[in-house]
Formats: sequence, structure tokens, C-alpha cells
Amino acid sequence: MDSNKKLIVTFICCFVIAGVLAIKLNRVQHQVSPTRKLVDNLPVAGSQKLLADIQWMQFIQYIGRQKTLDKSSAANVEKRLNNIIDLDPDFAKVYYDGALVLMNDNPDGALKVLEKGMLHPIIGRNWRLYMLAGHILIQGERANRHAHLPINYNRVKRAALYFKKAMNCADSQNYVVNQWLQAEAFNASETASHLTQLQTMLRLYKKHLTDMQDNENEMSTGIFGKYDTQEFIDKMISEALELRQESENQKGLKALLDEVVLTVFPNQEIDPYTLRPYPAGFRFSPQTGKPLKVHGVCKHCGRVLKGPFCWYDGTDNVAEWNKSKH
Amino acid sequence: MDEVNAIAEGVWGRILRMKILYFLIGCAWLHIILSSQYEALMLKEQKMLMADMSFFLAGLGAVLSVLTLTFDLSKDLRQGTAIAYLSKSVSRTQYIFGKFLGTVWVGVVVTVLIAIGFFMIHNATYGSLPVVMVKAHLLIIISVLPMAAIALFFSTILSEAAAAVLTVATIWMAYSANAISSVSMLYGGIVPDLSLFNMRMEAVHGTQFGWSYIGLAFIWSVVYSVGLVSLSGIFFNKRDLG
Repeated sequence: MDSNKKLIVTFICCFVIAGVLAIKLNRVQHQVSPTRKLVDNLPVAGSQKLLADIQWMQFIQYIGRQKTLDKSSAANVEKRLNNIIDLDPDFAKVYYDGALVLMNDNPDGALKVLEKGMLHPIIGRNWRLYMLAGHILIQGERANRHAHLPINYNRVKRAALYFKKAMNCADSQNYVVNQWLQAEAFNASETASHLTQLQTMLRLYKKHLTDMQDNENEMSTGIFGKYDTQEFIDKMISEALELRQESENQKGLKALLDEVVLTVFPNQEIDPYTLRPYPAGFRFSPQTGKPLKVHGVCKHCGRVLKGPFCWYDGTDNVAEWNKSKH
Repeated sequence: MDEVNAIAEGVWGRILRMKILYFLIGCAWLHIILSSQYEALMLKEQKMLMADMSFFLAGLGAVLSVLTLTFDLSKDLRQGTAIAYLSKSVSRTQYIFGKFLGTVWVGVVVTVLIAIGFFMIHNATYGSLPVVMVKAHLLIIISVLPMAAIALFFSTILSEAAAAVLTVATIWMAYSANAISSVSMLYGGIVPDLSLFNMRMEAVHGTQFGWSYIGLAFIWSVVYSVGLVSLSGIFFNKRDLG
């Protein structure tokens, strides 16, 4: 075989093998980086990331030059943000910071940017995106409520949904729960008063209890997701106390507080001042110094019970013990 | 093989002795250092810019290195140096293979120097160096192979200016070749895909990829380069050097 024939055979073999290998490599590359398919396939010699950085710097300088954003500059900001996202969909800062810039002058544009981030397999796990989206949706409706303008309850519902998603993200903060409750309360009533908020909390807590009963055999966390139910109970009692302090004579308040206490602490003696259960044998509230109804003590000698029969004089206290056992 | 090595050494020995080369590498390092100072302009994302800049400059270094081949081969043919070589016991295929190896060595030295500079600057500035950055730079170094093969191919069939322009254009477009990844006969075999060596975005965002990917990319680049060098050999064997 002469030299040229050898070269032709080598050339054909190599190109066939290279073609097969390239397809495999391309597949592996897309497995490693699933967002690669979202990157704008501009003919810029693979420098999309560097271009995104340059456009980010230009964006920051553009924002710095603007005293306020009007309609056209807000649209321009949205366009610039979308360009950066198209060049580098993994640039996490663009979604959140960009939406922060846009949220007052172009809330819908800000939401679009955040929703793009939510679709990202990694950035979409960031609770801040959902928190901000919920905030953007609800802030306009809050302003409408103060100005006695019509409220778009669909947006409030969406906000509550976003806050709920933020709650379920791995590293979210506790105050997300507050935002969620406020959105739920807002959704439940036009006034969104503390009373409505407490009513909403009670409704959600009852739903939580039902969910837990329904899924008794499963490892259900109820509607609060990763949040501890105790935290929610504390929040509800604090809300109830605040409400009582604010408007003691409000119609229906006493019935609501009783219902809250009965639902949260069933079959327990409750300190009427702190709205929380107190231990057996307490005669006065440690917080307020006011007298309490004593429970869990021997009916004969008055000592705190340690079992159904008094440890001191052997009196039968089965009924009292069973009651205080709760 | 001694003849091939001698031709390769002639290429890299001459280019790597140029002081301007090291001045340009120094400029690249300076640029990388400067980009680490863009804290305010990047809203504290300067680390990302610094890495991007190093990848871009290493890629640019690789392109400029392989571009020397288009001028070098034409110069050899014009000045008769090629004929002097070929009149000895060197075949035409050995001659272009030697040129190819010499250019690859130049490209590897340039990209390795830029990468080492970046590693040192990154380590000095941030106190650490993620492995994924090393891997991304390694891919750029490997990409010198197919780039040099492209440059060699155009040098053997065209004049120096046309070869240089077409080499740059092909390398430029080869980074977008994954757009035709579904065309199995064309993609990766005839049309090179340099985006396979572009894991810059992943490295900057800390997305991990295995050594097996780098190994596979290296195999592809060797196979593709051998194929294209063979094709260049076919054309060069038929070329009238007189």
C-alpha cells in the first residue's frame, strides 16, 4: 500500500471514530451541565461567559447612571437582564439582584426574571427567589388596599404559593412563615386584621392536625413542611396575646381565643394570662403573679401528685391524676 | 522519528526563543491580576471575571500559537527551506507532522504558562484553587491539538493569508458546532466541535466534571488531529512545491 492510500485509510478511520466519540462527549457534557442547552449559541468562540460578565458590568453602570427608572428604562433593564441570563443561565446574582432593581418600576418584568431563575435546576432551590416573588406580588395589592382600590386576589394567592415554596426550600429563614401567614390572612379577608390573621392561623393549624391524622402511618410533616409545629404554636399564642392586648372588647375575640387554646392545648389547665398550660401544683402565675386554679394535687393533703395515689397519704386520686396527665 | 523531532524542534525552538512571546504572556498575567480588582464593577463577582479572563486569554494564546503554523509553512515553501528538508531523507508526511508537533508544543507551552500564572494569582488572591479550574484549563491546553491540525490543513492547501483567515474563522465557528450535534456523519468527524473543550462556565460556577471527560476529550482530539493531519498529508503530497 503506498503512502497516500495509508493516509486515506487513516483519515477515514479517524474521522469515523472522532464522529462517534464527539457525540458521546457531547452527551456527557450535557449530562454534567444540564443548563448548557439554555446558553445562547452565539458565534462568540465560546466566550459567552466572559460576555455575560462584561454585560453585567455594563448593567451595573447603567443602573448607576439612572436617577429613577421610567417605563422605557425599566424595559431596557429587563432586556439587559434577559441578555445576561441567556449568555450565562448559571449567573445566580442576576436573577435576585436584577429583580430587586426592577421590582418597583416593572414588577411584572421582575417576576419574569425570578421565574426564569425558579426554572433553573440549582438556582431554583434558592428560597430568596420565591420570597422576593411573593413580596413583589403582594406589595402592590397591599398598596391597593391602603388606597381603597380593587385588589387582585389571584396575585395574593400566587404570593402565598411562592411564600409556601420559600418555606419548603432547604435553608429558608423563619420569617418566611410570617410572610406566608400574612398572605394567607390577606387572601382570607379584605381587611387582613390581626383577628383574621389569627383565624387563618387557627384554620391552618386545624388543617395541619387533620393532615397528620390522615397520614398517621406515613412520615408526614403536615402543612408546615420542615418547620417545627411548636414554633407555629408559639407564633399563634403570641398573636392571640397581642390581639387581646390591642382590642379586648372586640366582638368574637373571646370565643376565638378559647377556640385557639382548646385546639392547641386540649384537656389542659391554661393560665388565662399567658394562654399557656402551667404545671401541677402552681397556685399563682409565675409571669403575672395572679392566682391560678390548682390542678394535679392530692384532694386530701394538697401535695403534687406523682401517681394515681398520693405519695404522702395514699389517698385515691385516680380521676385528678388522669385529668392532669394530659 | 528523529527527522520529525528535528523539524518539530526547529519550529518550537525558534518560536519559544522569541522574547515577545514572554512579554505577551506577562501581559496576560497582568490582565488576570487586574481583573481581580474589579470588585466594585462586578458587585463582588470579580473572582468569576478573573477566571473567565484567564480562560479567554489561554484560548487566545492557543489560537495565536497555532496561527504561526500557517505563516511558518508558507514561509518555508517560499524560501525553499521545505525543499531543502524534503531533498534529504524526510518524507512530505513526516515534514508536515513535524511542523504540526512543533506548533502543538508551542501552543501547549503558551497555554500552560498562562494557566500556571492564573493558578498562582488565584491562590495568592483567594488562598485556594478549585480543581475544576485546573480541569477547565487542561481542556484548553488539549484543544491546541485540533486547532493546530486545522491550521496545518489550511496551510497545506492555501496561501498564508487565506490559510490564517480560514483557520481563525474555522476555530471561531467550531465553538458553535454543537448546534449540528444531531448530524451524526458531519458532527465531530468532519466538522470539529471545540465547544467540547469549553467547560469555562462550569468551572466558574463550580460545576464538577470528571477526569474521564478530560480523558475522552483528549482521545477525541488525538484521533481528530491524526485524521486531519492525514488529510493534510494527502493534499501536501499532491502539491507542487517547485
